Amino acid sequence: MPPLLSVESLTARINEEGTNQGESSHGESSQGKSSKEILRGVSLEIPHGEVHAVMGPNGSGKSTLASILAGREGFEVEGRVLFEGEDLLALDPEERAHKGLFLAFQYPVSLPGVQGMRFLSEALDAQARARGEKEEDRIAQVKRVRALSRELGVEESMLKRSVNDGFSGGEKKRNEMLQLAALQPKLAILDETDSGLDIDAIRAVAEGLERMRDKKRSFLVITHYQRLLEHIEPDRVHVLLNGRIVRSGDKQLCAQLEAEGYAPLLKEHGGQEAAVQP
Amino acid sequence: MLTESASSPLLLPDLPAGLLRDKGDARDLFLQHGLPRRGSVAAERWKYTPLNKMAGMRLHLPHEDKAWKERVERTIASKQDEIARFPDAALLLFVDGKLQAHERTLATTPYAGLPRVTASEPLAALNVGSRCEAWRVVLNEDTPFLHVLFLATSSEEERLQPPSLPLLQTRLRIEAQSGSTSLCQTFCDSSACWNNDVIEIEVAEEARLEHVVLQERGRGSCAFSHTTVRVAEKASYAHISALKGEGLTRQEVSVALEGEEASCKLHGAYRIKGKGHIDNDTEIFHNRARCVSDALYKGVVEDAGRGVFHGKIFVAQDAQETRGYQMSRALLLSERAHAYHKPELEIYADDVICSHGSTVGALDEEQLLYLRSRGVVRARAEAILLEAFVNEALRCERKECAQALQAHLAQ
Ligand SMILES: Nc1ncnc2c1ncn2[C@@H]1O[C@H](COP(=O)(O)OP(=O)(O)OP(=O)(O)O)[C@@H](O)[C@H]1O
Ligand SMILES: [Mg+2]
Repeated sequence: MPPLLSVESLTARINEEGTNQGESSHGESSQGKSSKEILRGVSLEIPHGEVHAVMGPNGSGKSTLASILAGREGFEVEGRVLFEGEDLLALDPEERAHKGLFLAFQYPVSLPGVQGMRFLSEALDAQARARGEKEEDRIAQVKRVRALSRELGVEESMLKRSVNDGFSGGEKKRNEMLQLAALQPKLAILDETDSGLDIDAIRAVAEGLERMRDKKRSFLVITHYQRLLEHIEPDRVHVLLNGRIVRSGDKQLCAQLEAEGYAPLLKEHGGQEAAVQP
Repeated sequence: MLTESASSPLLLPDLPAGLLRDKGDARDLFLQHGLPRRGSVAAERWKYTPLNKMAGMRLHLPHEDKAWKERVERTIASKQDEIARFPDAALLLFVDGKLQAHERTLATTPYAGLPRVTASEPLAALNVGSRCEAWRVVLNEDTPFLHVLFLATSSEEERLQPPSLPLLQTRLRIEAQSGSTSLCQTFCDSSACWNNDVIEIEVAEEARLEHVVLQERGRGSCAFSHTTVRVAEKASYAHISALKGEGLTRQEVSVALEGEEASCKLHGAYRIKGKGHIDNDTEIFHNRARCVSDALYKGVVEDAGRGVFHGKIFVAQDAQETRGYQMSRALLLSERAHAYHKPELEIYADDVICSHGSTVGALDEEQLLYLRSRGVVRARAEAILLEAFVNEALRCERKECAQALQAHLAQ
């Protein structure tokens, strides 16, 4: 059986309108565009049932990695990503969701005028249809989502409000967690879902993840903090630095980072930055 | 006093004989100024809705012969769902501009009063200067809800060469005397026609009127309407419209807040396809102190459509503590789509809070990605976002009207 997710030498660059052509270090870009390399060859394998954590300093490319996996456009992407052996990069974002991929966004957008429960129903029905399953009965669906929101400490009134509209930072994160729990994906990517959450909420998220954890479901948890990882015990921890995974290890690595920070790793790998060719 | 410039010739449609009255101010005004043209008094107000192509357009009145009566019967029979849409409402059913008897028909009286019109309102002048049916209706606690349904028959004449459009005109005077009342106007005709209606509304002291308009225009169809409203002390008036289609619509709403603490809300949403053109032209006169007005128009423009909003707020010198808000937003779904906004504030009092704003943009890619990442396919995600966008301007108190408004603009 192939791993659930396999990322091979993934690079991503972004084209920026070059206003200062003279200063551009990329002589070959002829249309006045400069391109910035954000991911520089990321390889990663997540077997079924494992929890992997990705840590790394601000701007190292964690969210870029997560959003390219979810299907965000606008990057020039090279490399290969297989999801259960299938070419993920060839799929539309919605098709990736239908296959069982979910991203809890670092900055979830608000959808004024789209009521929370309606949003979830649309998502659940769309996924059921795409998989050729029967759509869940509306009443059962509402009941199930309400029960989940109680478990996760999400105010039920949030389901009546517009999605993320006027939500506090923490409420948005809880709402991402509720969607994750309702949609039951095969691979859940959590992009700093623990940031901005109070201590109780972090515990609720950890317990929620723990409940969903099984032999088949995997998690890619992007975080800056040890706290969530203490609760959910990752199988592997990866450090992303300047668009590259520079170290992978077990959960000890996370404790080490907490103690030492990224300085030693930056020293070790910092030299590469200057040497990088476009 | 503005004078007509000689820079462009008078533009007039080819009107049917016997349409215009023999005399009268409105008739004279129309014949003197014609349709809006470059340099005319009306040019500014009609800047984005040029009617040059209407000059010489052939218009006819339905012949009320036996064949027409049969067409009316057939039309009524085929529109039973539409007629029964608001079973709790009293009904005024117009077919080709003629009032038809129905079991829910409200007591009406012919109305001979003629609203005053100005040179910048040429279509209203045409209506008032014409012979057409005019009716007066009173709304109050006993008759709180009225449905005014406009139907049109289709006839052979539409296929005439050169083409000729039926000109369908009515005049209504609505008096909201007391209590909370609702008026819902629906235009439901698949055949091509030229509607040109004038409505005069009075909202008496402390009365409330919610005025809902649902309209769809097909290609080649035009709809002009001119609504003037006087709102008395502590009374409130709301005009909420849902307009769509590929035709030409110009909806003029002019509200005078004539008593202290009067309020009005002008909300509307529209969806334009093909080469459709929808123009919302609003005027709010704050003539007394402590009045509140709120205008919100939201449009979705596809293909080569054009959306226009003109919003004027006038605040008289002693209209202190005035609050006036105005916002217009358009989403353009194609490169050929256009939207024009023209705010106009004229303020003579000093204790006033007035705001206006407008936005034009495309659907938000981040919001689309969010929905799609949850499995909602792109087309559905777009529909959800568009619906949410327009629905903000379609809220109303009467439930069945709110549902009708939202359903009208849902895909
Ligand atoms: N659309 C974009 N245009 C230009 N630069 C971008 C774009 N998206 C990402 N970047 C850049 O790519 C780099 C990586 O960003 P990314 O959001 O992936 O970092 P991150 O590791 O998630 O950081 P954080 O911990 O702060 O969330 C940053 O320098 C960012 O400015
Ligand atoms: Mg990030």
